[in-house]
Amino acid sequence: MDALWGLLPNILAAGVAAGTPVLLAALGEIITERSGVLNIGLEGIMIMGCVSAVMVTLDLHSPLAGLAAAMAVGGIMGLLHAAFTITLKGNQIVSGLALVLLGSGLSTMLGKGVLGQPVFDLFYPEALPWLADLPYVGGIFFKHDPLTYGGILLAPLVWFFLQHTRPGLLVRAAGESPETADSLGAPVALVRYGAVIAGGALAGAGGAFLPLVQTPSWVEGMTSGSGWIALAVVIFARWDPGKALLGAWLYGAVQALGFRLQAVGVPIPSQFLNMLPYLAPIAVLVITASRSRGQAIAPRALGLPYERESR
Amino acid sequence: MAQEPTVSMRGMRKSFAGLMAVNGATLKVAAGEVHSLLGQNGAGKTTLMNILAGIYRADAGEIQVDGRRVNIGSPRDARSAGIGMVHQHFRLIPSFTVAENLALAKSGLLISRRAMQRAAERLLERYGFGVPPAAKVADLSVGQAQKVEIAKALLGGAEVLILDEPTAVLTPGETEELFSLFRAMCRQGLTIIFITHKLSEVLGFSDRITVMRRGRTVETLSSRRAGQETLAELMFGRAWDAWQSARSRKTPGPRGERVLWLDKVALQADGFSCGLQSVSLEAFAGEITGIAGVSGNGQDALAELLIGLHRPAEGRLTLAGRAMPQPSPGEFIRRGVAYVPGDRLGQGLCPGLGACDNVALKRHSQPPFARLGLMSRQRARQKTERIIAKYGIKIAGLEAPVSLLSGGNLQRLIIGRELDAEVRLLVAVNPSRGLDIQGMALMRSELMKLRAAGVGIVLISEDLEELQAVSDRLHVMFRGRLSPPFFRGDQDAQHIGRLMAGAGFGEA
Repeated sequence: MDALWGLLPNILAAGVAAGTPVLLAALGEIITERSGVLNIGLEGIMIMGCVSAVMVTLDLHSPLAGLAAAMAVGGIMGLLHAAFTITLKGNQIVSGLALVLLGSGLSTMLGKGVLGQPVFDLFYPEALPWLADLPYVGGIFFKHDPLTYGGILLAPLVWFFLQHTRPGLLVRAAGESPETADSLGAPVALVRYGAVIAGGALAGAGGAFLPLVQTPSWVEGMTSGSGWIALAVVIFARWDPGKALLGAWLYGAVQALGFRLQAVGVPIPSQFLNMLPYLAPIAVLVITASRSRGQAIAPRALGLPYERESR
Repeated sequence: MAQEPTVSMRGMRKSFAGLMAVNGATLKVAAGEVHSLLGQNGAGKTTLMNILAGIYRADAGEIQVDGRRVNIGSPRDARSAGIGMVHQHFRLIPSFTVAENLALAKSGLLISRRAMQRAAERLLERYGFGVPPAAKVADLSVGQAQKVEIAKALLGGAEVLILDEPTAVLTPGETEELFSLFRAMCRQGLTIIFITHKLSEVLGFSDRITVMRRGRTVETLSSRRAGQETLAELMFGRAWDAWQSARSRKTPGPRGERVLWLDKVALQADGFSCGLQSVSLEAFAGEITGIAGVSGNGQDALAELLIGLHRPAEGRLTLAGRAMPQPSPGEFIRRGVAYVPGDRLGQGLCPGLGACDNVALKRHSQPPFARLGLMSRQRARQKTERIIAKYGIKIAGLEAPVSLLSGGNLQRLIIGRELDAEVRLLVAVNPSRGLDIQGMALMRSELMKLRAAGVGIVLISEDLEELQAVSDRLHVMFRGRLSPPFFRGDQDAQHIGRLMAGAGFGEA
């Protein structure tokens, strides 16, 4: 057990990094859902982010280009979802599931040519000067890759956007009461389009993390449920970017813990340890759900297409 | 008030699907006055004001603001003409703070919480609104939320403020407060038009009153010169004379046993209803008991009580001589209570189910629909087909969702189902609303047939003409209370109009 204590900083550091894809997707989904649109297609968007990041990085030898491609593809998938649910007023669940199926099928097909090819141009961890030397926290938070730093920075930025900018206010108004926003002349459809596309781009970035930082190649289904975890994190975080950061870290740390326990040879079947990162969010969801009974915390118009009443 | 009117509307007309809502209305409102627009439901008050606020486009008529002719085609046009409207249903975001709600109406990229808060505070203080800007709208009282709505309209540059039934949702104390706020706002140069159907408010708090009836503006008078009698007569017309003089024109049915007796029944008020206070009501076989009143005065609660949905908090409900202490719609149905609800697709029928299922729903567990606990589809179909043939219902098929039917056909289907058993008491709420002339005539003849057959009928309606045409006795409902009955031929019937407007009930 002492060995495990010694490993704790190491596990936490690994957890902060491992939580990044979930964090990015969850932050995007928070923006999307605060505007009143539910996008459960994160898993499909993330897997498309993975494959497009690998293809472009292999071709252009620049992880930045790979990231940009993943975000663009994610944005386009967000646009698809927006067009189907906002303009055509289609069912958001159906459209989201379609994105998941589309992503898994399309990524397999596109990835045939790059399957198993190692990617060499990656985002590498860089210790931040001075901060990395801080005792304890330095090693946990300040020896990471640029994407992880980006995710950590993005959480307060999304919070600031939602709480302190007018577009953010409009996003929240569109998600709480689109009819009120409309009556004040706010372009509800445009606001929602923007939020869904931004959410898609962030999910794409989350997908790009996996091949560009964690596992440097394309493997089919390599997201292994991160998109679904991100959806759970959004609920656990009650649509609050700060709490999403905690949720993503929790997921990452539990995942890292599983790996380490396996490595030190704890006599627990590996299947159980592999289940841990998925069980933790379920446990947290159950606890938060039982605590928040009766409270309206979800955006009030979440999942409801907005149609100006025909007079 | 000799000065040029701030708002002048002349010859306004507006129809919806062939129905004239406003048919020749003229309104002149002077700057800095509180002007009330008085009339019963459906008189066209809200429609006329929605035209001024740019929500509806008038079919004909001319609007002038400050002596200049304006063309108002959208709420934006109205706003730029300095006209703002506070609707009955607030357009506020409950999870936002007061300041955030007010900030939504402004522009700019970044918002500083503190500046936002201060701006809201300044605005709210200027008129003495007394609403904390940092509070969430969901935590405010209705009266406070209404003030935020008013502040929002003022923020949009409104100089003429229209309020649609602002006091309908307020407690008496809040109402007082609102009216003193009106005074303060008028002193600062604002003009206020408020829509109401309550006589007492009109006389106490407005400078001038315009009365509307059936889409027309009847008269504008100064509140100092008007009295309740005059106003009630202008509002409801001399319609009651007809009822008064119609004595014995109808052959009364075989007046029989007392099928319903409410003895001082009370129901708790909740968020949606004003409840009932000490309501006493009798209905006899072969008689139609009319309940008049402006909607929202407890009619829904009364109807639901009569069909066994509520347990009286006080008092007793007796059905055909048997006390019914437990609320149980099934038991009430078995005792011969039929119900034609005002909300046809809400309480009356399941919109997504077909006619056959809807007919079977009411008595699905009894013969002939059920045998040995199993439902017989065939019998339900036969029954439904008989109802459809009897009432001439136009329907695509027995299984097509009833939500596709027109209002008239829906009503026929409900009547067919409800009257397809032995009925002793029929509770009908606004049964003719939204029906064409044919449908109304059918409804009326069905009521008269039932009356002749010795059924006791409680007719809750907002349609005075209908009530006059068929009622043998009549009560007026106001804020959950019921007046003593008036009888056909009563000389007191002239008071009915005043009672409907709340005068004569006293404060409880």
